[in-house]
Amino acid sequence: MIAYERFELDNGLCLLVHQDQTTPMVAVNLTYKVGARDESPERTGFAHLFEHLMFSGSKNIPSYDQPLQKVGGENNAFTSNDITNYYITLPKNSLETALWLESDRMMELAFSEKGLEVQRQVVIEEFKQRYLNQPYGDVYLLLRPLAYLKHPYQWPTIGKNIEHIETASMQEVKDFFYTHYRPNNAVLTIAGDLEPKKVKQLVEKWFGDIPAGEIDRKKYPQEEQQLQARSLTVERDVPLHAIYKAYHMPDRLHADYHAFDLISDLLSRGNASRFHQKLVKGKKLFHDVQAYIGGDFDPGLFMLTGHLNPGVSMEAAEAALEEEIMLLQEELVTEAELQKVKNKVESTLAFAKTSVLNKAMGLGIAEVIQSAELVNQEYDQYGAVKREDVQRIAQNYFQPHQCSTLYYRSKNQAK
Amino acid sequence: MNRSLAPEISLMESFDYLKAERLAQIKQLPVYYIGGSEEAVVKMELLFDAGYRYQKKALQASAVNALLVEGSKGKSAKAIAEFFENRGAFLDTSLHADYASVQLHCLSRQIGELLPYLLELLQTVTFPEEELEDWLNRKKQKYAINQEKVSYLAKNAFVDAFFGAGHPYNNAVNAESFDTLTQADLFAFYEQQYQKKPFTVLLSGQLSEGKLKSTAQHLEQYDFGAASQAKLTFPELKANKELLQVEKAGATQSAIKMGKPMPNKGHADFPALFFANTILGGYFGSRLMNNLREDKGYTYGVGSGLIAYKGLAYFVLSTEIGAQHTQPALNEIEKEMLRLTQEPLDADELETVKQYLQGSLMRNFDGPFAAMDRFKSLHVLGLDYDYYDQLIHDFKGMTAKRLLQIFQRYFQFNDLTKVVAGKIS
Repeated sequence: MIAYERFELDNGLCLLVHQDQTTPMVAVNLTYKVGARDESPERTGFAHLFEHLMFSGSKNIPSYDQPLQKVGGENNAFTSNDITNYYITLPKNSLETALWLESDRMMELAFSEKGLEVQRQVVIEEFKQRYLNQPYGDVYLLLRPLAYLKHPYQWPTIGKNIEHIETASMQEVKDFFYTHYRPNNAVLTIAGDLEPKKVKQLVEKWFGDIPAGEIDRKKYPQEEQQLQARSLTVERDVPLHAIYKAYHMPDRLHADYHAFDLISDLLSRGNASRFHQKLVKGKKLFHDVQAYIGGDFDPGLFMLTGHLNPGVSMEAAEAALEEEIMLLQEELVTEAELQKVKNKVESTLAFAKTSVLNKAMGLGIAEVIQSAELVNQEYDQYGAVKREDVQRIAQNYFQPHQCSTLYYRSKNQAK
Repeated sequence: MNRSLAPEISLMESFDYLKAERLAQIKQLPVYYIGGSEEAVVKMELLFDAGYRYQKKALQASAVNALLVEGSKGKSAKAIAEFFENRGAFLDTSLHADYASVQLHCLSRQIGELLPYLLELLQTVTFPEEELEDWLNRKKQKYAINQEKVSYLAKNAFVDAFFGAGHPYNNAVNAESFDTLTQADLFAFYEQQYQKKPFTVLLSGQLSEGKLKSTAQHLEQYDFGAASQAKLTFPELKANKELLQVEKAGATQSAIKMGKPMPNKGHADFPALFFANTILGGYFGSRLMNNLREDKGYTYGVGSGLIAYKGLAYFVLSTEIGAQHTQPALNEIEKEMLRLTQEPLDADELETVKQYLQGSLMRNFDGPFAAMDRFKSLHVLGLDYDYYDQLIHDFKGMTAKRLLQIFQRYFQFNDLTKVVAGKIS
């Protein structure tokens, strides 16, 4: 149970405060309700580029990082398809410095030309380092547009291609800021050994006079039901063939969400899992093989991915994955096996609560999804999943016509 | 309200860090505990004197460590995995230069059942042939995948060049390393470094008095002999003055790796070296990050650090740079290092790094798990908390003058072994 108090400022900023008396550190987590799904298809990667620009100085403060380091703080940020999240940890005495910095960049950025030029280059290097200059790095650049025909999840947060980043203009940066970076589009979460009332006063002092914006709660174009299997085959300079199968799954608030997560655990979490025992050890088809969910807010993907052992054909690997799916459809999982993955979730959730930053981030993101209270319901939601749910979901969702498959072939293996 | 002025805050002058306490009731084994978790979870880590520095053959130490929990008398790898996973526990192994580790994460209520099982595993290893073969195959494929990564190529080449052939800390591998290891090699290493040898036990999280007591009782039943007396000598490291290049056709980025030997933790200069490294490349606001990333946009990131093993310590700097910027980046790194040997730090930067390091220490000691990791880093080097007291003391009193001397003495670009992996133009 993570206890918290919730406040809302007049300008719409939501504040969550969690007290943790065991630590001298404070976590400050600021979540903006904007991600890659809010981008225009002609300007992808922008939310992430913008995240970088948030560190290039604000209206009254030329450097974000330096004053924070000067009070013992450390920070970072990430962009997903749904949100952009900024987080800081610092000694509790220094809290106000974090609020000063965060509020100034919520008020107005410096919009420096040099900042834009440099961060554009940095993001291009990030694109190369993580997606282009890595074996299998371009998988999601290929798979997303295969699985999504309409929804903006069809591009990854880094963007569809480097050109979109190269041509982003300062006017677009400004428009993006005033459209999305407003107090009524954000959740601020503060966790540490603090008095909630005092935290609220400080937050009002620094954030209270930031004007609210007009937030366009846009409806994202939703996918139509997939009726036919899709596939794409590519050949790359990699040592092993790889296969990626993506099935559509429901949104984050759907009653079946936690069951999907447990199914992925049944299949591949740990060495006792089905995939490891049967496909890696038993049949020795895969070098590694995983099932996982993305955790997207809108309807997302349930993924099966694996690198094939040398000499194994793509057909044999795919047949083995489909056989495992069929087994879920035809036979009820045993109570013991389901309990195993629930037990692992129980300890994972408990360990996650040992970090003040994890708790702040969890509360804030839950509030953006729907309500901070979600973090306190998770354990029961996993617990409520039944054997029959696993079977029903496998039957309803894991059908060949709802699947997109990427065959990622090794040039070397082909020879 | 003037938003251009930082709010006045009172910085914390000092902080009390969580210390590990040695449990008195266990005579044969060093067992340490840090409590204080509000969650009923525990992490138990066992440290064996079995790092790769003791191995006679590439991958020997690593294979033994990984396969410790992949088969024991009467128990298959699958049965072992199921035992832990059914109880929601996570069992992992990891190998380091000096020591090998087995880690158990579990709910506190499970430790009484898991610990005796784990201890039995460790004493009845079987290293099944099939598990070894599978492990080697997976490693070999992983190696093939890594050959496509410039960062890996640079790291492997650096380690090989820096330490030289046959050095105990040279753990570089090549394509043949995966074909010669046998089950007999595993047993030989196990007998030499694990069997009946004392190990260190680190417990952190939440354990009641009763649970601590029963944990101690289980540990007392382990069958110990004397610690291994193997003394290793370390060959002198030879400096490589020339830039080593590893070709990777078509790479859009080059990986740069460079480093040199440094005095170790416990040496009087170490706190100042640590401080100096932070300025150069040890945090987001470092000189190298400011230059290569925030000013020029050559890279997504650059960093440097000090790596301390029991026998030696060294400085290492790494980055991945847009292929066309490789030479300019090398020039800038040289320039930044030279500048630090010539111009004393201004008061503002000195103060920033002081405060950053104090905050960073607090962060690194935050909670029983983090605090135990700090203790571990000392313990494996044979150091105690005096190291941190000295570090905190020296950080507070650091001066620009002292740093200038440190940079001049220890941070000469020409002393670095340098490797670039990427497209050679």
